[in-house]
Amino acid sequence: MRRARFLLGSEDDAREMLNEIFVSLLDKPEQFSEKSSITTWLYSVTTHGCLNRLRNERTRRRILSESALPPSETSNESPEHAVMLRQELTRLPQELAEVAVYHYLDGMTHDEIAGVLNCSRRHVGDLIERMHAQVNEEKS
Amino acid sequence: MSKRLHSPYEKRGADCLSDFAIDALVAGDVDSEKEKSQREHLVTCDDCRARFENASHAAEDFSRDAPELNLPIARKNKPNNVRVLYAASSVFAIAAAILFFVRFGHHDPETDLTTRLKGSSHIGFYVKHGAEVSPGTIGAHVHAGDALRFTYATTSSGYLAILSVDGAKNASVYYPDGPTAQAIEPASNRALSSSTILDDTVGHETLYGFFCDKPIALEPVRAALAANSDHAPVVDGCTVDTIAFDKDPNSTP
Repeated sequence: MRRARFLLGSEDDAREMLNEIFVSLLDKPEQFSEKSSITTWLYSVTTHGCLNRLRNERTRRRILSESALPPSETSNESPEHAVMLRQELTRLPQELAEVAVYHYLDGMTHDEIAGVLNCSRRHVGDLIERMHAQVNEEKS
Repeated sequence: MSKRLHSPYEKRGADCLSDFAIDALVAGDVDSEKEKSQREHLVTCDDCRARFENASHAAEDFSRDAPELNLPIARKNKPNNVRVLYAASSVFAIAAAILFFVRFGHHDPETDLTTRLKGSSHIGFYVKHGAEVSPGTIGAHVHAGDALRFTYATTSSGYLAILSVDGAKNASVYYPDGPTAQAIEPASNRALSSSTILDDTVGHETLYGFFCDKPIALEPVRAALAANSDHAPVVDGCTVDTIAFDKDPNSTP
């Protein structure tokens, strides 16, 4: 809920996302096959769900027009940073947006990100480098 | 205003915990060795300890005041029969999602209704007794006051209705809430959207799942069951699956 609220910038959207995740789990229990931990699975499915929602045109317009500073949901995030991150997530391709969430929001180590993405630590490093390059290119 | 995105990790010490690590620790989702070293770190690190305490409180608040899930709302007002839960069955839904799928991830195919007889149409159920959620089994003992969430499995699209004859030979419609059978899609084990609380009538109860090729009217089927509770009525275009269970008086779990 905390992560969804931050990523979507809206309590209502976050509740809707939570609803979708749990109803989907009831509907298709095979989604969680216990190959990963429940925390890993929840992080992954919440991130995917929120990023998909950010790509929804209406949500995207709202995020990109954010100028008011919503209250920060994490102790280490300034409201400006939160707005900036959300806006970047609407622009980045899916794979890089996912890494951006784990890196910039969750502060996860490369090992932890590799665990959630089910890839090598080296690939995580490559993705973060590409993500930085794209973010910096947009700002230049 | 900072123009650069930064990771929280940049400001933290090398041993500090990410939010992911803290969430896993709060959920008890780490091995004992890692948990030991993480808890030792929490003793010495004010920032990580504060974030851990915030996450713990948030988890407690969530457990106590789980947000309502927006399931389709249905209510029957039959004082002599069962009631259908509102979306306040969110606690059940969350319990089913978390407790059931984490604790009961592997089913016993001998008794588990959810994997019965592939290739035909079947109904099943989960039962919530207090805080415990478990899959319904053939001949199960449930209790008055338990909540049931029905499931179905079928290989073809059609229409479904679930009716019941209870220990007092009363016939009622459990699903759907409307007057005709509800459209369904093929699924291997799909939970239906509403829950049912079992009333105080104890004894042997039989569920009848009618899988039909059209949206049949349900009252005539219910009336036929009430008139002859020992046999499912023959309904043109429908196959019937039955499950029986025994309902005991309410007991504190």
